[in-house]
Amino acid sequence: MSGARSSLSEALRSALGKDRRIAAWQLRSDRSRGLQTYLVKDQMEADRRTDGETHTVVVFVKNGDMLGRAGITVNPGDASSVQQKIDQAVYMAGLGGDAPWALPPASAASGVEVFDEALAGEKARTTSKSIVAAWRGAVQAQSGAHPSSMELFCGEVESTAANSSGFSATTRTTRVSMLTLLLAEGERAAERISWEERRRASDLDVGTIVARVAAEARDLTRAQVPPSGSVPVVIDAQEMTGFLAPVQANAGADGLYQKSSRFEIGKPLPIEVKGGEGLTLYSNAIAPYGLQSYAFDDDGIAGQRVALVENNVFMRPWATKQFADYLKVQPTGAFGNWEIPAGKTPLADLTRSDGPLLYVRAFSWLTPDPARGNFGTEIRVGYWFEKGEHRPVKGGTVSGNVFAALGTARYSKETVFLGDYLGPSAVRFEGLTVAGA
Amino acid sequence: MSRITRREFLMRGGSAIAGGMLAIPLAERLLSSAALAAPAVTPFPGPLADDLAAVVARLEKKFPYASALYASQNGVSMRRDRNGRRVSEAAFGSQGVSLRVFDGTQFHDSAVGSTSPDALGAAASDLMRQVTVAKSRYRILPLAAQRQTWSTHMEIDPASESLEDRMARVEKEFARVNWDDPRVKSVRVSTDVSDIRRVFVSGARSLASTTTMVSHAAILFGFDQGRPGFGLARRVEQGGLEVAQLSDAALERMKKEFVESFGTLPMPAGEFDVVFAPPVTGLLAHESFGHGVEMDQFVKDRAKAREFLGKPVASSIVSLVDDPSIAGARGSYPFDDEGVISAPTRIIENGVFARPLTDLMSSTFLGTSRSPNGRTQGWDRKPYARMSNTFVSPGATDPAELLASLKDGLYLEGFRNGIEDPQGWGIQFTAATAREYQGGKPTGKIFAPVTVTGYVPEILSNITMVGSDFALEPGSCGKGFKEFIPVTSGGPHIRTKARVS
Repeated sequence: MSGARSSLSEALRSALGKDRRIAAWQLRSDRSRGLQTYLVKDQMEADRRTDGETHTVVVFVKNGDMLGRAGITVNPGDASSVQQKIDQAVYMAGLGGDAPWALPPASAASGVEVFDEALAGEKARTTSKSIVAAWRGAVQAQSGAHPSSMELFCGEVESTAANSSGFSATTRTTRVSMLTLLLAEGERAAERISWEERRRASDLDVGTIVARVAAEARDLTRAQVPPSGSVPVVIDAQEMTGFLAPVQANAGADGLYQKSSRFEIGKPLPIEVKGGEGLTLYSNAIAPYGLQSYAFDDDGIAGQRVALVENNVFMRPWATKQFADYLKVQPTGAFGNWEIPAGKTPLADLTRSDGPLLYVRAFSWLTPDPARGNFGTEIRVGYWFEKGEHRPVKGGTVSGNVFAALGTARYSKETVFLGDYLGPSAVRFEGLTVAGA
Repeated sequence: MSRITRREFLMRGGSAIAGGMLAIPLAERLLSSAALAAPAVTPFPGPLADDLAAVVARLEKKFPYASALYASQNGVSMRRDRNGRRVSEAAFGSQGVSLRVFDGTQFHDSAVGSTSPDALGAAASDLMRQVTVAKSRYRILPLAAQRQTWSTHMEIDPASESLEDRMARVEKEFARVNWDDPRVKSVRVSTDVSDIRRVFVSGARSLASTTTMVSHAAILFGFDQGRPGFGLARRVEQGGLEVAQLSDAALERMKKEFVESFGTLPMPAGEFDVVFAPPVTGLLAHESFGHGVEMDQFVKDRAKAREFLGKPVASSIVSLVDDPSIAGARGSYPFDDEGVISAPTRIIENGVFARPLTDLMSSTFLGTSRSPNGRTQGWDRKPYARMSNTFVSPGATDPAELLASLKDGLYLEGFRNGIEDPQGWGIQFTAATAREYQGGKPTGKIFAPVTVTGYVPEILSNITMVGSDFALEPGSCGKGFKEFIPVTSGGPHIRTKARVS
């Protein structure tokens, strides 16, 4: 893929610029290529190449004192009907309306690193093959666990964005995604699955991933349902973005504008502190090779690192340009990667307890109620700590409330980078309810 | 059923409309322009089927199997809330073609986001150049010759009305939903109408379909003494604009759900006698056995169900079906993405595991006949063995009898999400609420949310009553962490025992 604009992109830009019905416009052109590899056990099942080009046009029209807005997608086959497509967008925009807001003017996009040459062009094929070879080698090195399947996606996207206020920028991004599914035999058959994504091939530590998945699969062959009770629960970093989803939902400017948020700017979160460390949370869109890092968001706002919550106090919302204008706050752009500072306690100390303690490596599907924060979810991989020993557990549930739990949170001193999360490798919460045997 | 990824779930929650009531739509003035005549209707599939056939014929000269799949989705989305309204193209619009060949041992695909003959020719050349034919270990039986085109049956064709008239429907619906209650802070009505198109060509088979999907929803959100609550009503079906209207009963249920949501209690954990409402029965059907009988999991040694083919796995009063041929259901299609014509598959018959769901890969590698379950998220993704409309067959008992039989138990309603565990045969799904029942009557206590966990054969074997009613609930299903497709799941009310927390 080259940096040159496509002819369709140029035709759209020209037509939008001339159209006097349109008060403002945005254009985003994406050119994507990908390689997909599928293994059954360790043998090739299928491979795929993908090649796509799409253009997303958003037009704004004045409608009395309101601003109508509509988006359309234009594909390569639409080259001969550009004007018809724009007419369609103008028509739809005229049927609706929001309170007016302004597109961002020309500004510098962030220079965040989100592109890896090893995943682009013809190099992607070589990189893909080397990752598959590394995966096969790592799997063969495991005893007591064997492969069920593997999927590998390597892709690149070149995006050009422009708007009627003079913004124009191009960014190239890459992504590698790997599914690993291993089986283990023991007291009972068990499986463990992982889905890992990174921007850069060298950040995908295949050996470590396979070793962890294999170890968990082996552990699950002898895992039992944990006992029931109200116990300290340490939750692994892998689950923290899901766990903190209600904080993200309530911290958005759109939720504040719609009155669906429980947060108030400058005030503490609805957390009753019971000995825990305060939560500090950044939306970080400029973390190098972060999955949610971006040079500019869909509105053309440059990626930023923004403190949303500091020591349990809601400092400012993450705000797209539209809702920032409505709330009269600075736009931050779309939510970026999750960043939480390191805590005070070594991980080994987090799992120490006078009584029993549960360490959850993975839940089956953690989706707390975004408004209330209530959750209840099955333990997919966990470890029960008691009397100086620990044993694997699976099944049973952990339930509680995210906001209540945050009042007791203790964050590990060690940190990890998981693609879209930079933060403590685990967090301990007191008194969550475990429903098991 | 992985309804949606967590990130998508989070990001979609933020969509909003802002502003106040509109002036007279500018659209009328804009429409008066000569350039805005109604767009010409392009016949479907038109020359595309011939273009695909030409490419496939070229590939078939070299490879033992070749096919082409065109997949597209586009539509119009309308939103109305207390701040304003928006009309736009529905999200996830895309179109493209996937060319596929089999070399005797593995599949190779080249997919392009275009329908131009040049792009298709280049993709075919890529396959011809890159792939060599191996000594054949497997054989793919050709599908019987068939040329056919399908479209959705509907009462009110969306194309017969202007978008202004459709927006007027949404406004009318908003007026019904916009409840003047001080606890209500946010009200939203949305109507999405999408066309999903498929063309499949292989050998002498050429199939085309246009499926019109209507998603209509209303949401109330608010606070009562600082405690958040919400109510939801929706219809997601194949059909026309007749779908874009909620019944009075549905609106009353939504208001009741909104009010009750402020007073729900945390669910105490334990094993209970339970009655599942149809959406919860559907979750059980989908998560307990549906994913575990997708036969690509057999190839990967991942499905415990494989050991139970022809053996009892459930109470003898339980039958489980996957049927993509149900008229109007969200999970329906006339043919799957690998060209197999839709028909019901009886997965469990009277408690015995009878038949898995296949895709082309698994039926080829395991040498079985094919069921119509090879499905893909889109032109740029691989097909897998997937469910469509999956349900427990109705029985003979009045559902009221099931509830009356609950001496000390729970009635679970509404679905939130679930996840499969085909190898361990565990199950987890979350229902919206559980009502406590004593002596066959509700006590007034409502718990939320409610997570059901357990061992699949145990839950299925514990089913003691199957209702005579039937309903399907729309959803989106993922495979692991990705590959989302439209489905439904459902059945009648059932009574069983379950571990709930």
